[in-house]
Amino acid sequence: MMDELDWVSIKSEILEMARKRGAEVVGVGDPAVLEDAEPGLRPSELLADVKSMIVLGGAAPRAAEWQSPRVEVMETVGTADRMTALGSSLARYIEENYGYYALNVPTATDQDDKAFLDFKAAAIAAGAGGASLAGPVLDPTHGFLYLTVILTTLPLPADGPLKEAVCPAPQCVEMWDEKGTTPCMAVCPIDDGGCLGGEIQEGLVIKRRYDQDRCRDRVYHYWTPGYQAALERALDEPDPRKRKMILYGSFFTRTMWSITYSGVSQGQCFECIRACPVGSDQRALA
Amino acid sequence: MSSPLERGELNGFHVVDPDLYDRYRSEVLALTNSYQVDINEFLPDDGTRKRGLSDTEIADQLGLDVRDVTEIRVVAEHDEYPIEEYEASARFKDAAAESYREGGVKNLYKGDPPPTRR
Amino acid sequence: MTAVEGEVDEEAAETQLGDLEVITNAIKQVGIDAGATLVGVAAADAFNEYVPLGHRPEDFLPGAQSVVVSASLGPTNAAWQSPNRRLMEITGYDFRENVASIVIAEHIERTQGHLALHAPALPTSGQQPPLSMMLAAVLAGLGTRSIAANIILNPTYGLMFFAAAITTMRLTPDHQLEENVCPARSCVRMYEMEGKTPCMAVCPADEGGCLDATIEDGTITSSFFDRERCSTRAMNFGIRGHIKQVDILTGIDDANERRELIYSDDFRRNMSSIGRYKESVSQCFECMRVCPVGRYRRKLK
Repeated sequence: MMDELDWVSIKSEILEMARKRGAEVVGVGDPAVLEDAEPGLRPSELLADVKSMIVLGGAAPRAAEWQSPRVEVMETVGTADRMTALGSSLARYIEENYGYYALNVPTATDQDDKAFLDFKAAAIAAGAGGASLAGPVLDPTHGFLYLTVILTTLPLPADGPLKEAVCPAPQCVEMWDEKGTTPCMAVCPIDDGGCLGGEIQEGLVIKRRYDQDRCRDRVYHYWTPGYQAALERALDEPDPRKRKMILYGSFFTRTMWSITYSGVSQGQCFECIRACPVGSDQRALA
Repeated sequence: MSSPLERGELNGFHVVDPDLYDRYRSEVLALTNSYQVDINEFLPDDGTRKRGLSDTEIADQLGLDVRDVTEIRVVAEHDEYPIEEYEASARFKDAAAESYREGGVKNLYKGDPPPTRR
Repeated sequence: MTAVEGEVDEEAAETQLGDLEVITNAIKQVGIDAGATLVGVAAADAFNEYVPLGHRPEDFLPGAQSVVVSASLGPTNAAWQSPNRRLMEITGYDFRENVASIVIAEHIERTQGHLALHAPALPTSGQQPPLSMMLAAVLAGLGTRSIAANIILNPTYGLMFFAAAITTMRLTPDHQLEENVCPARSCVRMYEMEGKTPCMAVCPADEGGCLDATIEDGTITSSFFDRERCSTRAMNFGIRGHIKQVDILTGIDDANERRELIYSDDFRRNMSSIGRYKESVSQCFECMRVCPVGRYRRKLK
């Protein structure tokens, strides 16, 4: 029975459905390429006998949100949840229509704040984008997109990684040659209180420096890490009046709102990508 | 266009001095949207209609640092009613909903309610 | 509407305006198709008269011309009738007005080539939202401000929930309603008899409640709303209660006393509201329960 199915057509139908429902980028990756990841991040640990990783990218912020001078816009109107919903829907569709197992990999983290799967590696393996010095996977046309990954036992033909590197963009190579930095490194320089550093040689990134902890505290500025930091400061404060100023104050209050509305507050720092030229012409509206 | 700091909207981790808070709490709150007086858009714009002030406006008026104003305002918003008020709120809602279920709007009249038309 | 510069070709100007109205209506329909009950448009600069710098559409999107406001209903009619009033505290709704607003913003960017963003409405500084959705609703002609907690009442539906998309595209604006929905005639009659409207009577500021107003010749001449007391009711369980409990916890030395607070039903309900935000958005409806505007729509079989 399995030999009689047209996997190419099935793949085409599934990916087309994903596009119609809002995915800007779709691709299939071979989960075997992630099996040498550290234990806890391997596709087979989530779904035994997994044969395909379907990667969808979409729900990017609106062009106007990138242009807004007010950071609280991007901090509070995120639509990443759409991709999660799409992934869940697609997984269910596969199971109900083809009788193969499918699951949407959770985007929240597992114990020890570790992801269930390396989404970036999955996206790169599926050709749904390329690696970037700034960190997020970038699609050559759309730039930054939110991702979702569906693991399935459906044996779909895999797309491969993109043939050409997305990062560094030509403009970034030019800037590197002139100034020894790129837009993302210039806006968030690791040697000046930021998160990013690196080197480009002959148009390729040959070295990357990344302060993950600092980046996390910016991306989750008012989320759990911010809540924890403020709570710790309050608990360490012996003066009850000062404790009240911390707990009732704007920062702790804001972390509570972000936690409550975490669906729309997923990313709270986009500055490296705001400066990134990849996909920027998609944001060039009047 | 003013900068986020000028507008008092730079949310970082700034802790206001408790003495400053105690000194200016009531004044700041009175100027904000905590107590909304005569803000209806149908009220005439001849001084009758009012609005709450922004943190920057309050800082200018009181001669304070705008970040202190933000913290004083936010702390005061939480501080205006103690936790016991939350329990009282639940009891208020129980009573109000029960009253309406029993007698509708008629139960709100202290005197005789008008006769029902239907 | 904008004046046409240079030599005025009246027919061309009228065609232009007519086309703009068609486009505006098509954009509104996108919002309706996405789940909004009503959609209206406010001119971006109409906000300037009512709010300070930092809280105007232009502050969030330079060059903003229009604000497209989507409105949807909250609890279903059955929820209003439920004998368990706590059901309404947790019944939640689907935030369709937010979905509609995002869909509208994306539609404008994709089809009209103008910038459009979903306006930030979550409080980012204490209780303060960046942009007032209530004012947006008033300016878009979707309702008027009432005595009851300054809630915006739509003449047909009463209480509604609002979201907005700010855009650099000039659209045909709606205008503020010419007549205030509040007070309703029955409220004026009650005020004449009792000195209070139903909402004021159920939640009187002079008896530990939130509301007060004066009415002369059937119109509001003054109003008072205690937002912080209202917050203890409308946000009974959630962020504010949790913050207070954490503050209290940090001051308790006795482990048993701490344990008692941590495992109390109130602590659990606060956490539950935080975790299940979609179900716990508004937690007091008592002023709206007695409000006649839109109430008769709630009577079903």
